[in-house]
Amino acid sequence: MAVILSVRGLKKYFDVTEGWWKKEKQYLKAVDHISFDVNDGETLGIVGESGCGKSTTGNLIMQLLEKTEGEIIFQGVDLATLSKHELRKKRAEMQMIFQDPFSSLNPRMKVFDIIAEPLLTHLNLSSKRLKEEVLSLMDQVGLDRSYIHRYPHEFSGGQRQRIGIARAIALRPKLIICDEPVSALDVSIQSQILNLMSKLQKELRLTFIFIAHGLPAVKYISDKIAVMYLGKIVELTTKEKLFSKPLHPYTEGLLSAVPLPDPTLRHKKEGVILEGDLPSPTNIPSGCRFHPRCPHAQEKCRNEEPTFIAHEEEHYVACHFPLKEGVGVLEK
Amino acid sequence: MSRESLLEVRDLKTYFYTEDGVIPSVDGVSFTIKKGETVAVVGESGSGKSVTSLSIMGLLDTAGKIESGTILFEGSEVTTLSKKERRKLRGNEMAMIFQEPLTSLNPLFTVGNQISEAIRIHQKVNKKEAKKRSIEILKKVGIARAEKVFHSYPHLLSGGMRQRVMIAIALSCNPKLLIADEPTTALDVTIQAQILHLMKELIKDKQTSILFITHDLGVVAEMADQVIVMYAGQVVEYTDVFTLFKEAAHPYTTSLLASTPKIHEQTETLQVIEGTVPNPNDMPSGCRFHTRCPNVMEKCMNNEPVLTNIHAHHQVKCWLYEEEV
Repeated sequence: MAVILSVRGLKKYFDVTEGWWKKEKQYLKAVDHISFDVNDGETLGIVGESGCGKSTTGNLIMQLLEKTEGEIIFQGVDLATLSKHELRKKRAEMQMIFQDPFSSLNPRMKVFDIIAEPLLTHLNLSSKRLKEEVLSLMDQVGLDRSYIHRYPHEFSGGQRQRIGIARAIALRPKLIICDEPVSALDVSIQSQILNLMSKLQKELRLTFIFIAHGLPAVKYISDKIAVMYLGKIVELTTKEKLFSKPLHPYTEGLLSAVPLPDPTLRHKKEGVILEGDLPSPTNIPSGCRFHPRCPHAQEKCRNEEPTFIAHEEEHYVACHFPLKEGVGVLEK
Repeated sequence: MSRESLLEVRDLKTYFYTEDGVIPSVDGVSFTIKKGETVAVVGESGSGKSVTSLSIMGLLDTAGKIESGTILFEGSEVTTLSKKERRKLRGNEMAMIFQEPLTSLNPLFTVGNQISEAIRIHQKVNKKEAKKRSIEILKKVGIARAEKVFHSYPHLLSGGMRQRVMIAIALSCNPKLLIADEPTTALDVTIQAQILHLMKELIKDKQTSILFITHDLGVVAEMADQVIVMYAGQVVEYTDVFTLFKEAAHPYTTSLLASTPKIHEQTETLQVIEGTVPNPNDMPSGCRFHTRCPNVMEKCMNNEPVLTNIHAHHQVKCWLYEEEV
């Protein structure tokens, strides 16, 4: 499989220095040197808790935020080297689906205008062709054709998310970044949207980066998963490996924290409850940034930052002492 | 296991009077909570699960009104109590924690202020004693440096800490019933695990009953003894947690279980419940789920099924099971 997107050493620091007389600058390190590859037609899931930098990563790839350092190579081209005009063309091939279908659709635009907007911007279609195209997109995402002249407020959350998806696939992009696309939806609607997304992925050979905090949804849709903690990727591997034998203690804690919908497993569940709160990204702990919450932390973890390396094939981890007997939730 | 019942809700109907007409948010809900038991109410948005809890607490806003039905707390009716009597009950006997701990704490008062307020109102103790008790309870809910947190304002605390403070306030007067409305939905998953663990520990020796409102079937499996599944303002299934996850009977419950992605199983495609939750001022005739039901029959469209026992302690509101009784 060909690599469609490579991220190398990506950093995003926000300047949060208060007061202009302070000599020392303070930074919020939202994304702090992360690297990964995404193959064509594959889904990479990015999971982590609030403030881990997962959404910032998505915004950086989409060029919605300016990076501090690092490279984003899409289809073999470093996006930073492109001119404004070239970047605009390239953007047609990468699209985004947002979390909140209530605020990501313009309330004054009708369904037709919302879906047609990217087509109008990038292509030169006759009005007849444009309407045909919009209608066929509505069919593809399961929206009734009669809704074409309605406004977003007339729809439920799930239907709005379908409108957002139709807009995202309008230009036949290669890569779609999905930022928490189902977290605002009810369970029964979540499954509709997840199934729709995997159907479209097969039909259109899409590559997804699926950003979410909900592990069950990420597991359902992803091939590979990156776990982020305070701006770093701490573990990256295939979904089978991650869920059956996690190497990083944070991943293990994250997995054991997910309540399983089976009451008979209530007392059998092994694993650990992670203690403490997430530290603030403006004040990152020394050494391994997970060490204050890590049940296995040692002296080395307090002083030395672990490097992100391949522990075994296709299994990357940033930990001085990767778990030998990591407890997953999936039976092999 | 027969325990004394603490709360009995019988045929509760709560309607909202709005400009668009009368909305039957809760339409004939009945259940019992025994002492020391945790009852979970599951449902999607608009199912009436939160309105049920607000009706019990007596916290409905002015548009909402309990139409009919009874709520018996320790055997005595609470719906007919005066506002003053209600207030006495609330906080002292029953307490509530909400989803968003930042909006339910007052930003202008310190944490200590808000905990000791509850204690002073209900337990008639002096300021010094209230402070002592507040710090004790803050320690109990797992807050390190309780003295410091006592003097902090809510915005200085993290989401998990705020929820711990809310739990501290709710439990400060040792209520017999704790209503928890999606208490962990706004929290990160590792923090959720901490809070759920804390709630289990706290009620273990106190015999506190919990009414746990949630949409997350994982949380239900983790916490509940009994489960009520609500759909469009009505109870569609009511049984114990083990039966529910093993032998769910109502098509809505089975579909809901099948459409939940599970991290401990390999799933290829998720089952889907077609359509959306019906609009409350335009409820379908007959069974309210018939428009989305995979097993829909002729009679479902016009006749409403009743909640019937299919086994001992397993009630289902569905025509599929009507003959078996």
